[in-house]
Amino acid sequence: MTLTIDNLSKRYGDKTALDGVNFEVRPGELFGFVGSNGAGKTTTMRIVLGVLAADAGEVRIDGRPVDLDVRRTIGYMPEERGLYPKMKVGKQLTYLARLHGLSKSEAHDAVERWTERLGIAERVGDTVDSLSLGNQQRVQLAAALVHDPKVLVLDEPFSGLDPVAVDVMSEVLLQKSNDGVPVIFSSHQLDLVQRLCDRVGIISAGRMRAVGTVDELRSGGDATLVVHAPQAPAGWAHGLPGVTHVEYDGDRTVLTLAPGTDDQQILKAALETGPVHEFSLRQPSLTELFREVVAA
Amino acid sequence: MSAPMSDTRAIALVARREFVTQVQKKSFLISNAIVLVAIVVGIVVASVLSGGDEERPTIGVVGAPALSATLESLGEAVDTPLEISELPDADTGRDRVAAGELDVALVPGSGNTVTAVTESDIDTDVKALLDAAVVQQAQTEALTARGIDPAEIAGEVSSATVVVEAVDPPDPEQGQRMVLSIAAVALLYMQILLFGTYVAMGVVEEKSSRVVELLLSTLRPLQLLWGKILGIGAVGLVQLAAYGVVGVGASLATGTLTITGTALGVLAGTLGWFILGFTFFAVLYAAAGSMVSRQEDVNSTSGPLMMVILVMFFAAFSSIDDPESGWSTTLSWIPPFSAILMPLRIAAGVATPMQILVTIVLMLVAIAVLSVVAARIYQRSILRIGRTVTWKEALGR
Repeated sequence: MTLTIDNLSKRYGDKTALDGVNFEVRPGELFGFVGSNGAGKTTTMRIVLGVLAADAGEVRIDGRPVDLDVRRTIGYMPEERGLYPKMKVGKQLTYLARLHGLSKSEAHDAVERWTERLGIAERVGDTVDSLSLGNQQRVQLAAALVHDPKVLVLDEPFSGLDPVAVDVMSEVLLQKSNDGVPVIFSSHQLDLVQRLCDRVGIISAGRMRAVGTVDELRSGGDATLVVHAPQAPAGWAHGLPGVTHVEYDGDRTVLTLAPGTDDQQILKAALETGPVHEFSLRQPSLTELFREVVAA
Repeated sequence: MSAPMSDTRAIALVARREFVTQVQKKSFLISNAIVLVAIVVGIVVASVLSGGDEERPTIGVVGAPALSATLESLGEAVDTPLEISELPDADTGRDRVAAGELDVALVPGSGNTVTAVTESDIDTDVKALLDAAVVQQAQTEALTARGIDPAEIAGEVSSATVVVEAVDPPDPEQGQRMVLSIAAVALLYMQILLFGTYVAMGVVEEKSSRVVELLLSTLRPLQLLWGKILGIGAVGLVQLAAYGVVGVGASLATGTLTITGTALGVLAGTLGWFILGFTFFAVLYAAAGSMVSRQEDVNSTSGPLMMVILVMFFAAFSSIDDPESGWSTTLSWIPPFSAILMPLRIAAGVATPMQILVTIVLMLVAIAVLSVVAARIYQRSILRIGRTVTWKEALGR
């Protein structure tokens, strides 16, 4: 299964929410969807689930435009969490599984399996509003998983989770992607995204600013080079090819390099000024990259 | 596994949840048990109280067996059977009247006079009977004394009767029909208002708990809307049927109602019109519910609906006396007033089959139009969390 987001646009009155959003989540891929608040993550996911209609563009799964029947095979965790507060966990999950097309017995088995897996098996007879917030989140995740989805779309699945629940959630997401399910989730916890995701998409003001593997993105960003050459005269690095910014920090020079710059040329230039005690290249973290992309 | 799901299946799943959730509520079960018991107890008490008029007036007569016989046959003739007993003497009669054992004690005096001893007042019907009996007795004696056979006279006189020809004969069922009308109107009003409100509250619950977003990722808004209306409506129908069957059953069993056919007809008519009236308002209540995000705001959009139902109710109640009055007849054609006025007319026995048929068709057309409008409002408002959606926004474009 491949989830294709093709050129989605959406306006709310005068405000552009999405402006030609394009990307793909491939089979077995864990895709991190990052962006500031209001950048368009939730709008994109709502359109995938058909909860919102796009003004233009299309969502496809394996090349087939997503209609209601295809949509039933998606597991969804909305940003606004919500379940029937007065309905018992087990009944609620069974109901949701059946709405996704499972038979009665399939639904029962699935509810049993997932509540067991997520550690809420002993709460199936309790109403949702009697659960702790953490357990409510687990039920919400179970609701997204209970019909054995072919595609997972999770809006901020990690928000409000305690560290143990974060581990459970990560594990489940990795397992689903190992099963070949395309998984897309949004998050503000960029370190987590960097650690978990195969690929990342950065959205800002309704446009995709960058899509790729974390390494691709990092190498595509401006790298930082710190050079300690005590005898180098001021201005030694100016005009070197690929250097976009120079800063002096005592004896050290901090250079900002454009993507694809040959650092060996810079090392050569530095050695020509005298001894070089330190020469360290640092790729940007996803967080830095994100700031850079969003600020652009 | 995830085969395409038909509309019917999706709606049935939603309706089933609504139905089961509602009927499993403790408050629902308890309140209905109380109401059903109250209906039975009320009817039994009413039948016991109204059964009082079957008690025969008790009359004691001192001596004079001839007077007793005349009194008895006269009582039978005018449909006021009397309980007549013989008294040994006047004092015993006085004592027994004072003790409340007898209504009247008759003590023959000198000549043809008879003294009637009562506790304080004498029932006018009984007094008239006594007068007639005493006069007849005196006449019989006088005739016999003159050698004429009183039986011969009676035979000749018996053919002299007045035959009543009423231009507008009173309906002997009228009293019972009135009771049925009041019950039908009151029940319909309660059920439509109550279950309409349940629909609105159910919609708001889904919206305020945000579960609606999850639901709408697997259901079309209209499947959710109709499933809800169907499920809650079914609960309303079952509840109304239970009240009706128990009420009519208890009334027939205790003899409070004797018009079995009419009662069953009114029950069926009431159930049928509940379906129409409820659906009419339920789609509107669903739309009203979808426009707000919090339970406490529901009245701001559903208030006008309650006003309409109240007006309907008052119109129905004020035409119970005279369902054939001009304004009531006119109003009974117009949806949604027909939903409460037609069952009333059926109960009163003034609705023609033609009118019933046409008003049903009119109501169905009104429901069809409204459901399109309401579905539009619902689809447009259901995901708008936050401040209440205005009518303009809900209906615009």
